[in-house]
Amino acid sequence: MKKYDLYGGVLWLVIAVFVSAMGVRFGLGTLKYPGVGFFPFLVGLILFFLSLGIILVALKEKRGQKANYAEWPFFRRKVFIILAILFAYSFSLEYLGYILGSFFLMIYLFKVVGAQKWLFSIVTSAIMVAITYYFFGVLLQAQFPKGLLNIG
Amino acid sequence: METYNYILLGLQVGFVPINLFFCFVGVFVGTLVGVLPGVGPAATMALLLPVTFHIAPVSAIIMLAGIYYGAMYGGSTTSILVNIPGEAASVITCLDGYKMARKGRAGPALGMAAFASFIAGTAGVVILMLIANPMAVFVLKFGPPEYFAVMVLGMTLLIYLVQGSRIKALVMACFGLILGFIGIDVLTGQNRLNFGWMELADGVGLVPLIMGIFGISEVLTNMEEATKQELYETKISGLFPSLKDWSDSKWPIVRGTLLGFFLGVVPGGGPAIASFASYAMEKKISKHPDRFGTGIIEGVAGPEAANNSATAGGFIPLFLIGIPTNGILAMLFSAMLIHGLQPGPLLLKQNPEIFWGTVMSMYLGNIMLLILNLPMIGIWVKILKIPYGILFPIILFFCLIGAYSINNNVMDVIVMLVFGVIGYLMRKFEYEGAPLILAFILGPMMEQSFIQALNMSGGNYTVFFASRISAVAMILSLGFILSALVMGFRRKDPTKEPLLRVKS
Repeated sequence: MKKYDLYGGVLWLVIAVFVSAMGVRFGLGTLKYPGVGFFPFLVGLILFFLSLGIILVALKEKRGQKANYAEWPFFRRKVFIILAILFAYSFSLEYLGYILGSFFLMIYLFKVVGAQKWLFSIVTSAIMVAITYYFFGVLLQAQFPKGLLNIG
Repeated sequence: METYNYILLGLQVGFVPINLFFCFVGVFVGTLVGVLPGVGPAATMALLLPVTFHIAPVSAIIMLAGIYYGAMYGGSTTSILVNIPGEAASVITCLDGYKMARKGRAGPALGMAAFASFIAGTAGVVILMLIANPMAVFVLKFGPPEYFAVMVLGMTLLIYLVQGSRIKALVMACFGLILGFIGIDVLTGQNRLNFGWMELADGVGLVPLIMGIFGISEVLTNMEEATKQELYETKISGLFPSLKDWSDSKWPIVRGTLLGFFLGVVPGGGPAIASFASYAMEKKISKHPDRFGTGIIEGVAGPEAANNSATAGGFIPLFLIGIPTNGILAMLFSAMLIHGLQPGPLLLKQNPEIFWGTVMSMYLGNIMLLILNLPMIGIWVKILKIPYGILFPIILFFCLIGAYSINNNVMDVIVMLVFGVIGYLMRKFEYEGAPLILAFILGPMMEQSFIQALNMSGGNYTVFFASRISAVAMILSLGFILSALVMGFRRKDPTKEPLLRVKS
């Protein structure tokens, strides 16, 4: 195991304690007749010991041992920006509407992420939005948000 | 006699034009996602789930099943030509398949992959057909204790057979169980872990979860790694293997088929493990083990046969017991529930057309796949040349629309993206997704069976050892846990690295 597993182990430990505590709050019942919180408590308890195991193994690793994750740090700038854009798209979908929001998103993805030319990005985005709108919105009757253009 | 009638019924259902059409759509899309990087059969099934709302349940299941076994065919094409496995189950095909392509034998490698897949896929369906009825009668004896014990065995086996670290697999299983607790408890109606958030009252959706963990995270990782597409430029000719190729491959295909089917039935087994096991077995019993990895046809035939018969094997626990044994079957399981079908022994009695129609359609689907993958191999090679810069935006976009259109709800998109981030981190920290998905699906069922069994027995825990079935399952589970403890949780596995890079 690598030294970064230590952080993972601590995170699982926190989750384990939290879930077990919630289990107690929901009501453990008795061993004969388990309550709603019995299973969450039990799983939290198992996770607690597993995370302790991960932490101990990670601590036992020799100091200075280089973590050989192929792609570290884990959030590359590119991935971080794409994720931010995708979340922004989801949150603004109701306001912008499916057609406008998706059109801008696709242009961004083709132009910036895919490194395509402007003309290609704009035309392909328009085609993609039109096809998906027709297929999902018209044929499959998905109710897309209307948004600014009031089409949905 | 009964089986014979059911086979006739299955043929009638399978040959209905609309079902033939959806079977073709399924195997075509399956081959496509097998060839394409960045999206696997589980995420594709999730994506197409909303489409199935508008068609008959039997057509829907036929199409989704087609995606599953179709992907096994397509996956080998990229392994052989690009040395990038299209599917986890095709990782091992890279070893000898790509080497064969480098030696100018891409044609026979692709041909043998398709023929071995066809033979094993069809043989798998025959075995499935023969044991379905007796198996269903046996499973009808299952009560809550038996179900609980079998599910415990399934979970244990999954963790036991996991490719990477076992302790991390166990952590993932716990995480999956915790996610499964979210929402209203079925037995009491009490809210759990949703923090008063009504959007989560029904729990976390399986579709956004799978699309996030397998689809989004895969695309993100691929974008970051900026994998270079190095299509091996070779003239693909002579797709029909020579007589010598056949003579070298016949026993690996037979062994691969039988081993694959067995490992498909075992929870946690599935096509990926089956292909690894077949390769290892062939190497072990071969007279020239040193030649494996240098481009010999046995290294393609065995694993390709194994992964295809494993897909047929996986339908036994899914259809007959009602327990999905991997993430992709979990998707099929949830599709059946959405269509009002309860997978399990009663399915064969109440909806025989679903099971037998799907099984018979698999024969036809395998024939379609042979045609799609041999004479039309050129099309898939062309698709392989589509730049990632065009492909990834389209895949991401389809994931977004797919997640939205399940319930016409932005919340599902956000949930999918959150799991995309989690899945991405899981890949970085080397946690596998399969135990999480399986625990997520089985968790609520396990809890329900556990409580029902205890209620039945007045709180007496010996109920889990009372019948032969549950006792055997529980003792086997304990055995696996003990052996894992004795051998240590962690072992080095040379196959771990490539598996991290492929989709499920």
